[in-house]
Amino acid sequence: MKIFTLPDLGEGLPDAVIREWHVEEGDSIAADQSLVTVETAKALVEVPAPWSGVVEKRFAQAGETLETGQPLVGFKGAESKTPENPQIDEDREKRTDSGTVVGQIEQGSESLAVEVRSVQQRPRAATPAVRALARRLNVDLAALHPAGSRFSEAEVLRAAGTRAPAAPPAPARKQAEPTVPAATGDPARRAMALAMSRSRDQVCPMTLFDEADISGWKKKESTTLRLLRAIAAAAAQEPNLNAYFEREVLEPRTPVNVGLAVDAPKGLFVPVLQDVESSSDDQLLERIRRFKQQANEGAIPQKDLQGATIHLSNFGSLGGRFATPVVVPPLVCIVGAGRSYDTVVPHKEKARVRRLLPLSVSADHRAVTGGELARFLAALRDHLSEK
Amino acid sequence: MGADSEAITLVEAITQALAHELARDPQVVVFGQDVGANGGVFRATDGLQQKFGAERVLDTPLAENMIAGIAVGMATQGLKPVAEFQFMGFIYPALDHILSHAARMRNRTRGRLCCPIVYRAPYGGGIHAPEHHSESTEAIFAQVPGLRVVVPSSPARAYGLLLAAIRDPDPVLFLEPKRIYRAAKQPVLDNGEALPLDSAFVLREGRDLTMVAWGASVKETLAAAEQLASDGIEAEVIDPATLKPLDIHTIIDSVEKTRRCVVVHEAARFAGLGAEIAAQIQEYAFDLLDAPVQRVTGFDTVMPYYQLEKAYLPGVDRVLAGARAALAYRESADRRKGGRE
Amino acid sequence: MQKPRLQLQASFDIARLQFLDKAGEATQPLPDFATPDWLTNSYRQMHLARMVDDRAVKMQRTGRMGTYPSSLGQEAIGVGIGSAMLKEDVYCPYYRETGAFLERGVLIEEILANWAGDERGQHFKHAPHDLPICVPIATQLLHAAGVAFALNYRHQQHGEPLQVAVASAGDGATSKGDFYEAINLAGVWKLPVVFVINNNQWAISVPRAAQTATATIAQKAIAAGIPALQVDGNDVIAVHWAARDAIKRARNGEGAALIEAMSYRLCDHTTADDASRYRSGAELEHAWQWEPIRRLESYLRTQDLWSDAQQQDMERELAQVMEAALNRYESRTPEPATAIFDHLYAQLPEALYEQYDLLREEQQRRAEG
Repeated sequence: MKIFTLPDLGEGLPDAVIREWHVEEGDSIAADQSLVTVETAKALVEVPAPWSGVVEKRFAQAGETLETGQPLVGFKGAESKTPENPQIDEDREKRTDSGTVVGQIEQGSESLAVEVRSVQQRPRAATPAVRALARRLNVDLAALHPAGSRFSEAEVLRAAGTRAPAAPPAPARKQAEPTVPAATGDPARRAMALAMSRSRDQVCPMTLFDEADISGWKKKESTTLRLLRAIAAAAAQEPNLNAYFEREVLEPRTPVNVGLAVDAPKGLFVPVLQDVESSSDDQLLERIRRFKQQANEGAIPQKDLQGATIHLSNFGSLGGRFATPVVVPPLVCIVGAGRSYDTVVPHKEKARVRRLLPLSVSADHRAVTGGELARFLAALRDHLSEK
Repeated sequence: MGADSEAITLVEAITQALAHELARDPQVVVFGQDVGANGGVFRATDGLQQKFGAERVLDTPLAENMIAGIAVGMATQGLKPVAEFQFMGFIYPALDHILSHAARMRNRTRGRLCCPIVYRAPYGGGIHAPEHHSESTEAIFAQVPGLRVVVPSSPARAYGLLLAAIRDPDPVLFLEPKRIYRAAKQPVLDNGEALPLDSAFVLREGRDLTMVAWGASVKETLAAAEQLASDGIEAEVIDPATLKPLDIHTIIDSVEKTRRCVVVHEAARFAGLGAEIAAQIQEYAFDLLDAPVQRVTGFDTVMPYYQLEKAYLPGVDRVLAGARAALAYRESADRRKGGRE
Repeated sequence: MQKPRLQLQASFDIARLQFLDKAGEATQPLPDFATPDWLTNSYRQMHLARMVDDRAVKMQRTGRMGTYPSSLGQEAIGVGIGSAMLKEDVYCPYYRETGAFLERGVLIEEILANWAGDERGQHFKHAPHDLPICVPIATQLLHAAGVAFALNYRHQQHGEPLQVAVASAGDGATSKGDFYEAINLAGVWKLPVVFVINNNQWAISVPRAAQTATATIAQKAIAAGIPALQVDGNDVIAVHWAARDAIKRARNGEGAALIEAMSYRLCDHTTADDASRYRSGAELEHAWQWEPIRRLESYLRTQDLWSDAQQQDMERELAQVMEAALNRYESRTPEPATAIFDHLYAQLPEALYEQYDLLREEQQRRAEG
């Protein structure tokens, strides 16, 4: 038997009520002759026979409601040889949302595994052409450090031992610099602009100020060294200040790796003193000396610029007392130390000249509470105030 | 992550991403023809108008040029429009606003105004549709400076890349390969994590051949890679995802390893993006190649009506043929090199 | 065959507004805003606009300026509309906009820079949200619809006061799809946008009669279901009244409107055009009788609101303004070539570093000679 199902009578109407059959079982009918009158939600509709044949079975009685796609009439002796049952199911399936207005979208059964992706988002140290040149000249870029944010062709040629023209000297600064900021040409400044913009967009900064009484220090103490030790001690007490804040999760870090801000002709560098607690004084001092030299030459190795967990800016040698130093995400804290100075303060209930070191500590308030910051600063100050 | 999240199709991942951003960012507005009450003709915006209201998910009158143009105006004033073109085949009236304005507003005003727009369109063939509903003209748009062209190839990447596209401050043409809208399901956690733009995805690692494909062609390319594996050949499959700006580094890293490359795209051959990738590979890695970069593409004919569409689209067989051509070349190249002084 | 009976479904009227006729005589009582101060200020602004255009055209003829579109004879439109907008409203211009730009706070040096081929001229220091000059015809009208949507959105979602978008276009633009699509959307979505058509009778060499079959351009608004008014575009009082009224209604949530400002293009289409090829000198000369500045001057003098001394003072003052602007314009330093990369995306993608470096090195080599 060839089944004719109730067609979609327009705009996806779900069903219709049989009102009047125009054929009996056993009758012959020609294609397009009226088969049955049905009533939809909108109107009375004549359904014509889709092909000629003999009506073998009527699948519903007058007054019955039939869903669109359900069998309406069975024909005997028709031309095409479609199997019976699959057609019923096929039609019914078509009634479900086809999810497209044209054609057919294949409903696949393929199942994919969860997406796992290692995210390495480090920008490349060289453009493709420079990488290709390095490859051709057998220069291993991984073993070298670019002068700027990426290798230039000249650097690669020099490293290969080829005589390349010396890099042209930076043009002398003329007055009336264009209104375009110098950042356009200078990678270090551009990197700074990007980092600061990112900080501004993400961080909620708060800064707390205090002063440490350093009158008890021995002569010739390195302020930077004392600050490093104090930071390590304060971080031991308040670990949330030596931490990363990423994807709304605060992760305290060990050990304490201090990123030390170094001002150099090319701009600002922040080399990292790894694991301050485990390093001896001499080791730290030697590293600091080396970083300053490298910064002046404009070439600190990439690996030494990574891994900071907290920042230190000892700007006192340049000038200024207090500051609102900038927190650089994903770190959450930066310690600023200003120029130490002598002043008269009450000391054991007497007016005395004491030497004070101004401290400004900024933290990201998305991650760190005011209390944590205050306690960190107190610990810092106390450690610095010791002899 | 993991078994907790229900597995969803690519088109459902699109809906999930749109819902996430509509909830997260009040500046996001979704509009296009039939996207509201009807949930989109592919159901990509299903349920969004009910959930977020007709002020945020809007049905527009019919005019693609208008849809593209009002997105420009909205974006300059701080909204984040996500505009839908019902099919890529109907995007052409909107070319003017996309090329002449959306891609240029930042440059024209020296950064004062910008267009953080996502223009979405289902694209590509293989769904048995009438004329004009099967277009792949991504190369036209990739040529335009100031525009990003992004094509996801899996539910997870559709979710993560659409989030990134919506959040990006510049215009993105987000082309959704409709043939694989519902082809496969994948668990995609609705955690709001965007994937990086301008960055290629290595979908399969291998040492013998690099295969670059995007959109629905990824399906055939991965299938071809499986067949090659049974012959002992391990292919590395890379999906650039962001066609422009292109992450050529990942492709070159791969060619450094494999020495051979095949690019697969459904779009027509001449000036298709396979040409750009091949040009860049030979510019930067000529000395690495053991074979010319092969391109497996659609023909330079009008996209046929659906009776002949299977003949047009690059299926697994054609991809395999391209792969084998790249592999075979190595042997004859070795012979040639051996003969040279 | 007998004509069947039809039922009237809709009909429409288009009216024109005028306060001052071409001789500068009031044809009806002036509105309240037309105080002596307002009138003399509008007069000054139209003068300044003409001065800027005149100088720019001369600069082009002496090789110091690119192609420039003057607004000669159409100053009342820009000045009339611009002064009807609040600072927070958003202007969506086309390219013949000197008067409106000056009202919106765009600097003379910015206008000059733009046509002299420097994108920094579109940076609009004092009009940060206005759209830049738009060259593809009528596309700004759709942008204006989008802008109006955003303004309305902010008003609905965040309770900010409703600002209005104002867009301008020429008569030629009304033949374009963007125009119909924009007014249609503005009508059906009830957007707070006012469309102003500068009907200066010419679209390059195509006269108004060859542009469209309608009796007025204003009536195209009927097709979009929005109200329309035609005004004498050379009567700054009428232009201002119409703009003010339409903007007020838009701000009140009553939706969009169209204003057709009738004027005449007394200049060439741009400095690259020679209108004498398609337009008779007699017609041009005849058209000068309608020009807006002379007619307002005539009214002011008749009302004893303006004197020769005031005219001289004003001309001297405006000349100083022009000179100062020209000095600032000429003393700006050119952008480096690498500026072409600076505002392509928010952040230059890695894929473009190579080309950037290439250009920078090229420029450095060139600088060293």
